[in-house]
Amino acid sequence: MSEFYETLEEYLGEQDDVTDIRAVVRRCWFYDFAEQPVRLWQGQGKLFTTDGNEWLGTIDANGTDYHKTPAMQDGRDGSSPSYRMSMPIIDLPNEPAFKLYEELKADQWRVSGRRVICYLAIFNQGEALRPQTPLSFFKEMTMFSPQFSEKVDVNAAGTLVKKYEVSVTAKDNNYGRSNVPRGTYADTIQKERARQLGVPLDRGAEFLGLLANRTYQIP
Amino acid sequence: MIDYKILNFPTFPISKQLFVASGQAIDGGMTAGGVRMLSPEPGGRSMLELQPSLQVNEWDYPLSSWLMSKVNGDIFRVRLAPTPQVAGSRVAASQFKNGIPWDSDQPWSNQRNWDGDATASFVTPALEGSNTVVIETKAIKSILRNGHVIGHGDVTYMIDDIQYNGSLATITVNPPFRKKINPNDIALVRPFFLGSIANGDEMRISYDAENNGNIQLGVIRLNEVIL
Repeated sequence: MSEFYETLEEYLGEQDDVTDIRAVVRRCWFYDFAEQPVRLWQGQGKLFTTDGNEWLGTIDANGTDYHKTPAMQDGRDGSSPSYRMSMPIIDLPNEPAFKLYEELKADQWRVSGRRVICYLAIFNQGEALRPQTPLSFFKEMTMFSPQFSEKVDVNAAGTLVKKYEVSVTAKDNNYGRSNVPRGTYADTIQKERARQLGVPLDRGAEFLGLLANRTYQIP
Repeated sequence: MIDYKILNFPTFPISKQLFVASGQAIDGGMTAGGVRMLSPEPGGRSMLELQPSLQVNEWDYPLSSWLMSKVNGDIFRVRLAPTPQVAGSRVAASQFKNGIPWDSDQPWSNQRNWDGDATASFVTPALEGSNTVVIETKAIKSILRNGHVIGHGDVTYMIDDIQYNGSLATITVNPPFRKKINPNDIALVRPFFLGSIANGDEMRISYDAENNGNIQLGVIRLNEVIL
């Protein structure tokens, strides 16, 4: 059992009354965007973990969590539900939300096929924002497509505000299990795979074209 | 890096000031016995509540009017007023009746001591996000207790726990340190607070133009801002 669950067990202890249990556990999200990974956690301020990473809190001083995440299913039933994580773009001084929104749009190639990993962090009493218990792995998903939405809203003071929101759709690792392994196999595809691997020329599949419309007996 | 504009909070008279570092909590549900469970927010933001006194000269210095327009996330630096939370406001008044002497316990040549706000210094380093540090309290004598505030840079911390070993005091603070602390950094006994006004709507109600320029502002609540 990992140190996380041992610590959790300690907090649970012998107690059988829920009111006696008080373990502070939060989720940490690792978005592995190409070249620019982002680490978020469900809390306020910066979190520092034992692996030397910094996580940015998504809850503001009023307790609003800007990072909208769905409830997770465990994938043991073999299903592969879609999860949608979203975040509004906040207006920063000297940085209009629209500009950031457009920049993110231009950067959307970083999303597809990349991982999102959810970890759990447990906080002992008096540990502040540097928990000593290592993070516990919770779930890994693959991101598919980003979505961008903008709308005009009326805020509490009666002013019209433009709201921008960015979200990603992800599926867990059960996705694609029913696909045929390796898919199509052809000369052009083999050369493209080789090019992606850095091999200048792979002629290993050039004979495939000759096999069309012929019948072979496998000896 | 974004260059934020930080405004100095006006130093008008106040009748109440409270620094709270309770942070926030997330509702954990309701048990069969009816107990509401709270899961405290690690490193939750602190808060400063100010109750201004009656502002008597709004005609000449319309500070209240200015303040009411600075409610959209404008960042204020507030010097905490001497309240019981600020060690050395009254405790020091009895201990340092005539000001603070030099390190060698000697006064100036005119037999006067230093006047003004005392400071301590940090002895051990502390990383951002941690909450324990050792401070040297020789200059202010051992007047700090839990419940007092201490400052580093523009951030105010509440002393949660304090243990003396001679003049060295090991303190545990809340909220956790927002900036890295280096040895020999100054520990302000009368700290600064960086915050933005959270209850702009409530504040604005009280601007009454008829009463001769006497404005009674409501409670101003500032939420901590971390830069």
